[in-house]
Amino acid sequence: MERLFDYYKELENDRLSFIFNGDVSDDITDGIIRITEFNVNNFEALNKLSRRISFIMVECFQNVVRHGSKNLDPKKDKAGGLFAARLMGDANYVSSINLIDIDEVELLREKLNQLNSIEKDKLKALYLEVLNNDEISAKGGAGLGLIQLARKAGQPISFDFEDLNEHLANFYLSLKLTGNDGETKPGEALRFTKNFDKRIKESDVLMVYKGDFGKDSIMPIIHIIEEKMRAENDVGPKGFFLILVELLQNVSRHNIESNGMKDGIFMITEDKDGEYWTSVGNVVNEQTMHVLKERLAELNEMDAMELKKAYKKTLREGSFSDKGGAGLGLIEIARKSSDKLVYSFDDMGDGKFFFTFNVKFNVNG
Amino acid sequence: MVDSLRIEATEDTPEIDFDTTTGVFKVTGRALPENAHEFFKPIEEWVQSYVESPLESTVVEMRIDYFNSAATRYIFNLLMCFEDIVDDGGDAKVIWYYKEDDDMIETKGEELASILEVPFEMKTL
Repeated sequence: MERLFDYYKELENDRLSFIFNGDVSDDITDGIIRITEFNVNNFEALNKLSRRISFIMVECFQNVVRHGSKNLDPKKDKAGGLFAARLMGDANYVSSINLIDIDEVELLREKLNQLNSIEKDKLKALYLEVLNNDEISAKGGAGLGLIQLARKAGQPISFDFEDLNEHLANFYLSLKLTGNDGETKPGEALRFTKNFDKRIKESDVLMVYKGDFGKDSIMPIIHIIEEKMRAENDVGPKGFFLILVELLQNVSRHNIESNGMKDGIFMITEDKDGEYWTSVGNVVNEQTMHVLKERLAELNEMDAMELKKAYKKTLREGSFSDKGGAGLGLIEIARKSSDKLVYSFDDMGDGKFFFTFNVKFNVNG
Repeated sequence: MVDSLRIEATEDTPEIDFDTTTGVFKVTGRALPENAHEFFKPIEEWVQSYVESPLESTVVEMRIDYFNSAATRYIFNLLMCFEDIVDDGGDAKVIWYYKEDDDMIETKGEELASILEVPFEMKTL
């Protein structure tokens, strides 16, 4: 398993990083918009770009959905699509990768080359032309998405195709947006996407989120994961869902807030079939570290009966925290986890520590 | 008699429908608020004033899909308020609804039942 702290160090200066590995459905688009809006609207460096970024993220994301091949074996090809966004203010990347049917490649290549060669002010005319054309694609798009993408980006779209076998090809799509509207080097965004994709898939990471952990950001994330879990499992694994809620809210409660933002990182990794690691990380001060260390060590000593007892005792007698919690969260996580809790603290200097908390959950019970 | 209490559901808080014309108090939906205090405290205060002069019979119907640990604690507190009615010789009970295959909500109900001193019924939906 990759260390969460390594990802954090790499993404530390990102306002928002969101990487979603695998096939996705339209149901989670709404969640993506909401996460983006909150993170973008509260960050000055991104204000100017905010509407464009939200729009581009959604188009890019829906592109994964719309052009995704329908001829996939859900077990074998489940790591097909990828959606990634990194917003840093000056440089912002939005990328998607998805498997498409090989006979779509030439048409898409032609369309994208055409869009990249058209002058910016002619794109609107093309948009209107296609809009009034009756030939709507059976995939639900009319090529309009790509035209809009080109218009809003104001940059050439980076793209590439890679044949996988006689039926399927990988379709890479990448955009880089800069705060100052400067031109970007062709291929730059694409390289970024390919590198990230390789790393994510090799380490079986299903999702990474780095950004704000306040209430307005957490609920959309929870919504996205719920949809994903529902799509992959016949019954929604409630226990897993609840561990997520507790972990994410725990980050929010024990956090050094700066600039109105509760920064943290969260990752889901698939271990083996049906087993998932959920990892959350955030920066805490020394005092919080000591409290957490002591509490987590205590919980790891307890067996199931003792945990149940501790749970009931806290329910009856525990004191309420001023942060709206009830001291039950960690006990609940320990009770639902299918293994002992795994955690670590990395010294970051200046009295700051990076707290990583890993919980294993088996969806098959 | 206090007025009925109605709060619409949100994506992380349940619907509250405490009807003082019928004595049926319903909590329906999911309870995942990050700050459970903010949501539940006013409801608890309402219940505390209700139990001072309750109706002849009070039935609390709990239909919860999901709840987080913080909400569990406040729900427990809320239900505990109804013990006062029983202590004063009045009639109050809690009905805990769960889907047949939902072990989690069932277990949660059993746990609450084992530490609450108000009549507690478990029913499948």
